[in-house]
Amino acid sequence: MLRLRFSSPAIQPGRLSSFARSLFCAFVLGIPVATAEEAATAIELFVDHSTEPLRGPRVTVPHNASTLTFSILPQASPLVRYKLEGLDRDWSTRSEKMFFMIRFLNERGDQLSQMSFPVSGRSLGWKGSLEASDFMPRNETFSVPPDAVYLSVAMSSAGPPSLVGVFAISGIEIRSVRGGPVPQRVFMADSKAAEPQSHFWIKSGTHPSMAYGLHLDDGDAKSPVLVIKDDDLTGHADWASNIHALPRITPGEVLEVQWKEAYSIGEGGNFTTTYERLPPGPYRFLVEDLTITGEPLGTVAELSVFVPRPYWKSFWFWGIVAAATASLAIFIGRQLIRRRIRLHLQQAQLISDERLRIARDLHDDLGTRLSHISLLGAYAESNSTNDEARGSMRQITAMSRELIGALSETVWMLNPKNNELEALVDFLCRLVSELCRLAEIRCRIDAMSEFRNREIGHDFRHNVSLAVKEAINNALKHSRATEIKMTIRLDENVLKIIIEDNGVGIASDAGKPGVGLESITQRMTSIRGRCLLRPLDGKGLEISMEAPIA
Amino acid sequence: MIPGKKTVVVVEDDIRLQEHLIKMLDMPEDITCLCAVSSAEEALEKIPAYRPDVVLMDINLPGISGIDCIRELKKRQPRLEVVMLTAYDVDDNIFRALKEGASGFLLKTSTPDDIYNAIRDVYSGGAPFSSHIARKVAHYFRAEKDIEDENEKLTPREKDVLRLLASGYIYKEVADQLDITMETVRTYVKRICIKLHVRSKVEAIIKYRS
Repeated sequence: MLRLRFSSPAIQPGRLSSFARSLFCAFVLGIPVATAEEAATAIELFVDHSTEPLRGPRVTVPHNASTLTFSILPQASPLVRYKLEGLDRDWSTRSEKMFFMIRFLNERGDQLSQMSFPVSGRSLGWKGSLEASDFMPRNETFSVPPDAVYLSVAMSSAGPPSLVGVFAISGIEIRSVRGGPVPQRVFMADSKAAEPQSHFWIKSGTHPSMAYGLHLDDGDAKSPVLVIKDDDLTGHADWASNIHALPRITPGEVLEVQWKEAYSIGEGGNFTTTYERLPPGPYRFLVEDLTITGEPLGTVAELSVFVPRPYWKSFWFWGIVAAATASLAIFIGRQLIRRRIRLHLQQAQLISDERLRIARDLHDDLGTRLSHISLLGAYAESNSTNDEARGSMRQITAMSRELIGALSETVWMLNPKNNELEALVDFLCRLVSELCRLAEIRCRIDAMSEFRNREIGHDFRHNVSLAVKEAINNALKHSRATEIKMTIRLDENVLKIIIEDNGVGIASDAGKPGVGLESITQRMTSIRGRCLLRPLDGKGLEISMEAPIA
Repeated sequence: MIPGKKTVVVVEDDIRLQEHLIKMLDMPEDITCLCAVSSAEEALEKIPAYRPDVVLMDINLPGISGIDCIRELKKRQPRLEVVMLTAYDVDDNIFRALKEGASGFLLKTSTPDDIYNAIRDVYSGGAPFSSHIARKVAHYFRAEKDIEDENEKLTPREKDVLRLLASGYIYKEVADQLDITMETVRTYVKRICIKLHVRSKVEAIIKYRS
């Protein structure tokens, strides 16, 4: 806030306490404090219904404030203008009315009535000072009220005491309206009585010194100008004409008055102004000192006001909300996806279980029926005397048994329990021992290692079992062996199966291994394994098959 | 108990197969079929009444499963010989049946001779033991390191027999290899089966307790 020198000797009542306070501080505490004379315009801010004002230089109001009332106490000059930067575009000035009056008085000199012609603000011709301004003409017509005898012309800065400003009148002319047989009467001309008088214009009011005249003296050739310069917040001044100085008026008479006026009027003193529901943001409340005629003095008091955004409008708040919503959405999304996956897996499991169940049911049913056929065949075979019939029956029996065997393998493949290596080894042992038993040759199996809990893929299972089957069948068909030996081992992560027979072996010149052996190699390579053939010394053939589990 | 004849009861839910088995079983002189039932429930009623020598039971029965039925039958008649009938031998139920006390198993597609031989075999105390079953049994006993009871542990001889069987030796070859008779081999196998049965019961109790 700025400090100003205030030259007026007047001490306003409201400032008495602060003056006393200053003196107290100055004398007792020894703190150099600006005296009332040097104090600048005080701006106080009242929020809503609060009785405690907020003072600057910077103020942040609560974000839920709806009404902001600024209380301005001008110290340096009586008249100020104000503006809320950030909202108002222009300065605001307060003004009140001064009056130009025509008074009617009766015989005894008592006032009957008066006509007031108010002025406020600035006249059109005002140019910053009285000397520079143009006087604007004005005229009114009126009729004289009953019982009115005397006429008086007056001007006053009476209004509210805080009224300040300059009001000037010149060129007052009063005459009766022309028309009719009666000749025109002139009461006043050029602000002087028709019949020259002394002491025509009389000052009055609480501070008559504020009224002054220009060129009022007799003999002054220039037009008289009546001026009231009210620079006092507590008083007023009047100019009025001597009531006996003007010719008598007749009730009913129609008169015309003309005059010229120039003025600049404002209202000074302490005041408040209110703003409601200000949008969030920074503001500056500015109060500029003016002369009594409203010219800026260049000294400005200010109060910075910040209206904060409610938290629910701030960027940070929304940022956090957005982040929280996003993470919540991601979290929910992940849970949903997990659920979907779980359901999917469950479904897959259900499907595989169902498949197995169907296969087993089918198999049981078919198996039973095929067993029938086989039994019927056996029965018929034993009961038949016809050799050919027996042969056919035997074939039927054999075929049905093969079918069951094939079915079994299918069901076995489908069973997810047989995903383990152990199940495969078991299967291979069974396979080999059964084939050997049917062919009535010796069987030796070495598969005593532990193969528990190793999972194998479907392709692996499929290809290995078929490869071993091929190898055994090959040996049974071609080798004429009397013994087949199978060894199964697990080395690191590679399953090794070695099938040896004591048969004729393959021709020593390798040549074409034969279709059967070729398909074995193919099967092993398809699961990243391999197959080796090795003729054994003497007789026989060793087929080594190996493939990685993982 | 019919002198000279091995009495058999058939437990089979498929009627046609049932009829066949009855017809087949009546053909040899030394075997006779006492009756045939279609469910485990019926079996539990009739078998204790008939007290046959051998029971031929389908492993797949409606209602109570064949395996549970064996358990019940063995409780009342511990010396009853039960041969499981199965359509296919890939069943892991076979091993379970053995643990419950079955004496052996037969494929439904077995020839009549196979069936007769199996019946005679179990009647005389044998137990048809294929090599892969032997392998499974060997694994089973190997896993049970904490067997304390002598009655449950395999003797060295039994272990030999088991090992050879698992290696694909047929009974005759085992006998030749160990220089014993086939009869002895069969006895060993039977004992192994009993121990397996006992051991699995103990295992079940331990599991139940824990």
